[in-house]
Amino acid sequence: MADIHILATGRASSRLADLRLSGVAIVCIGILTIFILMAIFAAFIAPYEPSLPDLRARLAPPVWNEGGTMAHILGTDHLGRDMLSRLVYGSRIALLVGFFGVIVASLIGTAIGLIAGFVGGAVDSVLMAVVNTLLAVPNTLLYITVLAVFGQSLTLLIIVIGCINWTTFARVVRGEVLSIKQREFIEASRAIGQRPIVTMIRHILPNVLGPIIVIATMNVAMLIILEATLSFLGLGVQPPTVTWGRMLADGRDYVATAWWLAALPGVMITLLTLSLIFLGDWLRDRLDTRSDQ
Amino acid sequence: MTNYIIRRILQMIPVLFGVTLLVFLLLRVSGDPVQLMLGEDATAEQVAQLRAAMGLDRPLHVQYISYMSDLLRGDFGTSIRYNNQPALQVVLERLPATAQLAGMALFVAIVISLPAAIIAAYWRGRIPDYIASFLSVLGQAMPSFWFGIMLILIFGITLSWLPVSGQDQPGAVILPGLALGASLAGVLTRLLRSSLLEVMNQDFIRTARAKGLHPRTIIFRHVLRNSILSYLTVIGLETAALMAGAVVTEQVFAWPGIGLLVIQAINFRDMAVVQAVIILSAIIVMMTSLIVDILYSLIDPRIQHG
Amino acid sequence: MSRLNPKRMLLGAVFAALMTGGALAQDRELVIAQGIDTPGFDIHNHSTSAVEAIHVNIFDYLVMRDQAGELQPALATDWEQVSDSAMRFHLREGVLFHDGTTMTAEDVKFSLERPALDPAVLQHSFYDTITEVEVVNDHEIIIHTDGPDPILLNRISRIGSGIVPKAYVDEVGWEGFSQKPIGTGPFKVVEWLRDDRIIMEGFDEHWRGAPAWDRLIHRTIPEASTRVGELISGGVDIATNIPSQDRDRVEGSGIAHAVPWPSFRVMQLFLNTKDDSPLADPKVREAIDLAIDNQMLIDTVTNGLGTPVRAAVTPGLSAVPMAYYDTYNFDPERAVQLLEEAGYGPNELQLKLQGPAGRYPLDVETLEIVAVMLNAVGIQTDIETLEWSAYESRVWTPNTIDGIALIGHANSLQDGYHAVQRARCGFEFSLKTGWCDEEFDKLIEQSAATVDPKERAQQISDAFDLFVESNTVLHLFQVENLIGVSTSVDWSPSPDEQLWMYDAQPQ
Repeated sequence: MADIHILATGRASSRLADLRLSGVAIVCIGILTIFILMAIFAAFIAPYEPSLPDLRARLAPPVWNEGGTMAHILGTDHLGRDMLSRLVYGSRIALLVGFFGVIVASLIGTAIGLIAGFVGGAVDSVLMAVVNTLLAVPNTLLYITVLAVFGQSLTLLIIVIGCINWTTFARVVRGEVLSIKQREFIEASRAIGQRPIVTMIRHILPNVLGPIIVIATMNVAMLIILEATLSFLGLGVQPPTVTWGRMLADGRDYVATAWWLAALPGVMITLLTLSLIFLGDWLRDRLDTRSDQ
Repeated sequence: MTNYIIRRILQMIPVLFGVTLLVFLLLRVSGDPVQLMLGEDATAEQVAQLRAAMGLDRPLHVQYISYMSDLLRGDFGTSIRYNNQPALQVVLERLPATAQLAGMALFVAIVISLPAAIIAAYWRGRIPDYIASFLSVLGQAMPSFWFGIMLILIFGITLSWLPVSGQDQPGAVILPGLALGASLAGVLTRLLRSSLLEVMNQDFIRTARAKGLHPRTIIFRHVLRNSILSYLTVIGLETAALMAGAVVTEQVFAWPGIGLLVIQAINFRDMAVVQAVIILSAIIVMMTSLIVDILYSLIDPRIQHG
Repeated sequence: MSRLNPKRMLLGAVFAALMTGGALAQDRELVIAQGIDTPGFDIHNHSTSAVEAIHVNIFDYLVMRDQAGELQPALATDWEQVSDSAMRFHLREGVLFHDGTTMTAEDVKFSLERPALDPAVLQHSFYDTITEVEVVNDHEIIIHTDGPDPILLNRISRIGSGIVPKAYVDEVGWEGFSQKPIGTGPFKVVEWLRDDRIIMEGFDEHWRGAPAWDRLIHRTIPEASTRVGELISGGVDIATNIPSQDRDRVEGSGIAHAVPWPSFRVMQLFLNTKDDSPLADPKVREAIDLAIDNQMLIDTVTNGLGTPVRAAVTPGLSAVPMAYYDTYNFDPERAVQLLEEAGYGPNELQLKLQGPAGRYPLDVETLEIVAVMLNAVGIQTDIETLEWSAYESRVWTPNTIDGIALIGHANSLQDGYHAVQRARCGFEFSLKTGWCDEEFDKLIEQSAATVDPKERAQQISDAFDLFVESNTVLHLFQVENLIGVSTSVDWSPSPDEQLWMYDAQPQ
C-alpha cells in the first residue's frame, strides 16, 4: 500500500517555498502533539477508569445533546463507560500500533534491504522472492489469516504488522544500496582500508532516511485504519484494552440509535490519519525524495 | 520482449511456491476444522475419528507434499464448509460478483478522481485544490466499513433510494461500489494531481505556454496525456488488489463475492478454499503487474527491459 | 409482499432493463434473513441449529414438535413401544417427494440408518443408540435400539432426522444431493447461490396441503446492522438476531416487530479445577459464583433480554429441575469472606478469563462485565478473547483451558439428560473442568436406561444437584434473542430456534 502512496504523492512536485503546505503542516504537527500528549498523560486527563461501567448511565448522550450531563461530557457507551476516558486512553493504542508497528517494519525492512543490496547474488534473489511473495498476497487477507490463527494481542499485532509491512522499506533501501554501490567513494574507502560495509551504512543510511520517514508516516496512518478494520472483523486488540478501532467497530450497531458511539472514535481516527497523511505529503516535498521505482 | 515475458513468468514460480508454503503453514499451525464441523455437542472420540479420516493427524510435511502434488494436478482440494464441493469451483463461482463490485468501485474512483485531480492541478494552491486534497485524503482516512454503514443508513434506509444489501436487486451494486471506490478515488486523485503538476513543470509545457497556448488546451492535450501512464499503472495494480481486498465491503453489504467467501472460510478453517483464494489472487496480482509493465513499455519505448 | 418499496422501485426502474425475471409479479413471497448460509443440504453433516432452521422447511421428520414443543405426528401417524428396545412407527400414506415419487418405508430406513450406522457423519453421536431400522411393510417400520432409549423420539425430531428419497440419493450421491436436495417438506429448493440466497418454491402437493407462499427466499446477511436495515426498509420479512438496542428502532419503523425469542442456549463459565489452580479450592469457585450479579449482567449486556439460571435449564426442555431457572446467587460480601478463608486478600488472586469474540451475541461484553464484577470482590482478571475457531479448538483440546472459559451450550435433544451427561468423568465437560464424581456418573448411567419418566426425571434432577453444587460450571443466563418479523406476516417463533414457515400466513 505504501508503494501507492509514493506514487500518489508524486516526485518533486513542489518546492520548499510552498507555504500552503507548511501551514497545513503546522496544524498537523499540532494535532499530532495533542494526541501524543493525550496518550502520555491519559491517566491525568481521563475523568474515569476507561473500562469501568456505570450501569445506571448506559448510552448517556454527550453533554450538548438532549439528556446529556456534565458527569459524562462525551456521553457513555453501551456498557455505561465514559466515552471521553475511552477516547483518551484509545489514543495510546492507536499510536502504539502505528508507531511501533512501523518501527518494527522499518527495522526489518532496512536490514533486509541492506543485506540484499550489499550481498547480492543468490541471497538477493531469495530475499526478493520473499518480498514478491508478500506483495503478491493481498495484505488484508494475510493479516486476517495470521491473527485468526495465532490469536490477538497488542504485541502480536505489532509483530505481525512488522513482519508483513517491511517489504516497501526493504525495496527502497535495496534500491539505494544498488545505486550507491558503484560509486567511486566506495572504492576509495576500500583503498584507504575502510571496510566497504561500514562506508556504505555511513553513506546509505542518511540517503534512505528521507524516503523511510515518508513511507513510515503514511504507514502509521494506514495501520491505524487497519486496526479499526481488524476490530470490525473481530480480530482487534484484547479487551479491556481500549482502542478507537474497537470502539468504532462496537459502535457500528448503534449508528442509528446512539450516534456518538461510532462517530467520536471515527472523528479521532480520521483526524489522526488526516494529519499523518498531510504531514507525509509535506515531508515528501521538503525532503524532495525519489521513489524506489 | 518475448524473452522478458518468459523470464517474468518463470520468476512467478518460486513466488507462487512461497505463497503456497506460507498459507499452508499458517492454516495448519493452529485452528483445527474438525471441532468446528462437529460443534459444541461433539465427543472427544468423534473429534479424533474425524481428524484421522481427514488426514489431519499426519505429520505436517507429509500433508504439505500431498497437498502440493494435488495442486500440481490442478486439484485444489474440497471445501469442508460446503460439504466437499471442489474448492476451486467454490471460488471461481464468486469471481463474477467480485468483478462486478470491483468494476463499479473502479468506475466510481475514475469518475471522481479524474475531474478532481484536474481541478486541483489547474487551480493549484487555491480553494478548489484545498477542497479536492482534503476530500481525497478523507476518502482514505475513513474506515470503509464505517463509510459503508453510513451509506446504508442514508441511502438505503432514510432516503430509500437504493437497495440495502445483496446482489439481485437493480442498483444494488451502487452503494458497495461507492464504499469500496472512495478510498481508491482518494489515492488516484492525489496521484494524478501531483503527476499533473510534475509534467506542468517540464520544459515542453513551458514552451507551449510561452507559445501562448490556452491553459485548458495545455492541460488536456499535453499534460494529461503525459500523466496518464502512471495513473493507469496504479489503476491496474489496485484493481488486482480490489479483487481480494473487498472483504469488509462485501461483509457489510452481504455481497456474495470472494471477500465474503474468504472471511467465512478463514473463520471455518476451510483451508482448501482459503488457499485457493490466496493463490488465485496472487496469480491475478502478478499477471496484472506483468501486463501493466508490458503496456508500459509498449506505450513508452524509452523503458527498456534488459 | 412487503419488499417492494415504491421510492426504491422508482430509482430501480432505471436499471430494470438490465434485470431478469424482475420479481414484480404478484407472487406471495416470503424473505428470511439470517447471518449464516447453509453448508449444503447433506442433513447428516452439519451441527448448526441455524442451518436446521432452514432445512426444516424442506425435509420432514417422522415426528415433529409443535409451537408448544409437544411431539406431534408428521411422516409417522402413530407409534408404540414394542419392547424396551424397539418402537414401531406407522407411516403416513401417499406422501410425495418434491420429484413426485412416493415416500416408502425403505426411504425412512435409508434416511435414519445413515446417521445411526455411519460413524463418519457428523450427526452420528446423536443416533448411535439406533441399531437397526426394520421395514415391516411399505408403511410400517420398527426402530431397534441397543437398549432402552427413553429419548428416542427426541433424537428423531431434530437435526439429521429428515426423510430423503433413497432412489434419488443412490442416483446422485450425497454430494449431488447436497447441492440439489429433495424432501417431502412444504418448500422445495429451486436454486442455491452460496452466501447469497436459497430460492425455494411452495410445494403444492405437500401432504399438509400447499403452503401459503409461492416463494420462500432465505438470504445470508452477516452484518446485524444490515439485517436490521433490510427489515425496516422492507427488504426482508423475517430477520434473526436483531441487536437488542435496535428493538425500539424496529418497532418504530411501523413495518416490523422485534419479537423476543428465548432459546435453549445457556451461557456458562467453565472453571478449570485441575492441578494447583486456585480454582481447585471449592471456596474460590463459590466466591466467583457469588460475585456475579446475573441479573445486572443481563440488564447491562443485553438490555434485559434473558433469564438468570443456575443450571442449563430452560422452559420447554423435558426432565429438567426448573428450580434452577430464573434464580441466581449474588452475595459479594460473602464472596470476599470466602476468598479470605481460601487465603486470598484483596487483589491477590489473578485469573484468566477467556472467551470467543463474535460467536454469541455480545460475548466480549459479557466477559468485560464479568471481569468488572470479579474485580469488585478483589479478583484480578486477564481477559483473552479469540476468534471462534481458534477459541473452539482451544477449549476442545483437553487441559488447555486455563482459568475460566465462556461457552454457550444449547440442547438439541431438548432433554435434561443431554444437559448434564457431558459432565460425566472423561466426557467433554469434565475434560475442561477436571471434575469427576462417581455418584454423579452412576445417576447419569441409571437415567439413560430408565424408561419410567418420573423415576428418570428424579435421577437427572439429583445429578443436576451434584453438578450445580460442584460450582465447576457456573451458569449465567438463558440467551434470549430478538427476531424481526414484518407486520405483513403472521408468524410467531418457537423456542427451538427453528424457522418453520409453513405456519406463516400473509396478513
